[in-house]
Amino acid sequence: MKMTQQTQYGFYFDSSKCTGCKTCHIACKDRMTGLVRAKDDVMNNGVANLPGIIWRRVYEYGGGNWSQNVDGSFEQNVFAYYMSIGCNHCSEPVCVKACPTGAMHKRREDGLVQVATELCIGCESCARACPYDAPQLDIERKVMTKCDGCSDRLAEGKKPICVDSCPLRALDFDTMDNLRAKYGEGDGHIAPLPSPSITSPNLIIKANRNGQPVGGSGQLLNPAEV
Amino acid sequence: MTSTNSANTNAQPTFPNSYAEAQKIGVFRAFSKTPVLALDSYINGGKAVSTPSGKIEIYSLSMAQKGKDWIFNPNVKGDYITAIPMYQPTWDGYEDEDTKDDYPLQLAGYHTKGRTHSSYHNVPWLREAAEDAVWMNPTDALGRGLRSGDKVQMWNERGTVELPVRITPRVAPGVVALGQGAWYQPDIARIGRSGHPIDVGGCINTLTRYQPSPLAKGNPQHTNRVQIVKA
Repeated sequence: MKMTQQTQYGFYFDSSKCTGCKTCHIACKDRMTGLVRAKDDVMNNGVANLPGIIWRRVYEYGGGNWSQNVDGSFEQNVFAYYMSIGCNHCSEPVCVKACPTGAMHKRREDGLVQVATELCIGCESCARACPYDAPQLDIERKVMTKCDGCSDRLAEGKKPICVDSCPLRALDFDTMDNLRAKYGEGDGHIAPLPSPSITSPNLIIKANRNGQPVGGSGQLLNPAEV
Repeated sequence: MTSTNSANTNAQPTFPNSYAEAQKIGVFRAFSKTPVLALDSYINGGKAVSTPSGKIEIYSLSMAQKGKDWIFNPNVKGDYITAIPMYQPTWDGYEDEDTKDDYPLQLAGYHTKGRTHSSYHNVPWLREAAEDAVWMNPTDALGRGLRSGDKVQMWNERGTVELPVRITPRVAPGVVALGQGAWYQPDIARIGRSGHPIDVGGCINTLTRYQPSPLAKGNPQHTNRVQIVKA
């Protein structure tokens, strides 16, 4: 079914600026307080740990080798860079297709992909389908959660909290038309991102100078943190 | 109030009058109109710098004096101060013959982005965002049969820690690196190879010698030789 959509929001990410500081990751988690735990008494009990719920993840990707010379010294061509990824609110959202209940849906008005929590049965089909690991299970409530594009902040004329929190100004968010006008098509997607042909993600990437092609020779260096 | 404090009179951008005003302004941005030149008063203004000679010293008179007057321990390798910058071989250093067989890896501490020193180690979100693992080069991991995420024990004669290992080319062969500031958490039921309770908190001080550095008298957290095996 082809949706008649007025607007499509998306992200811009500049991997040449990102230092992997994870302020976006933490700011996003901070916003969840009162959102995914609406009845929490934060003043008296502190904020919930929300284990494993990471709507914005910072991937550390690197590679290269060390070799030893006859005099014992080393040569190396090691590289590393970071990719901050939330949800790309894809134009062909495989999570929506995979959802058996219709909980995962793409909003007509702005193209944001969100979860209708009351319909979600926590089967994790969306998480298995998404090549970006955007759907994040709330193990305590047994429902799926994900980057909602900060639609409450958008309504107030603000950008998502990850964008506004970034000390390096490496992130941006807007309608795809506006982002393209500002940044063009970018450098194309780089590893560790999957091929954009799978889901038509709304994400423009400026590549790090060490950026490797999708499926490149490097590896994810921080699997425990994402 | 910050805006009425005389020390802030010439602050650029000017300080807000209230917290509410600061919140309204949001992020403060200031751009220098002219490049800032270090030691400008010395280079262009002809004023003396705060050294005994008033000049930039390569041979430091004050360091020479400290090296002569201060008391050092001749039994501690590298415990001396020189007047000119030089490489000082030290205990638990790369060339230290006394420790290189038992403890073949050099352990350096670094500032992890998950804490400010030891502050905020107790915040679960930060522990989730920044893994406290010891970094090891693939070459060293291969010989030990280690894979990323494996729990390892790392020890020297001063203590034993137990924590995950991260295999990464971002650290040199023969060197391992651990973010400093994790909180000491001894498991008193288990004694490590060093003869101490195993620190499952992964605190680098568990492995660090109580030996102040020659000049700064700092904690020598980057001067540790260790051995690592799979836990």
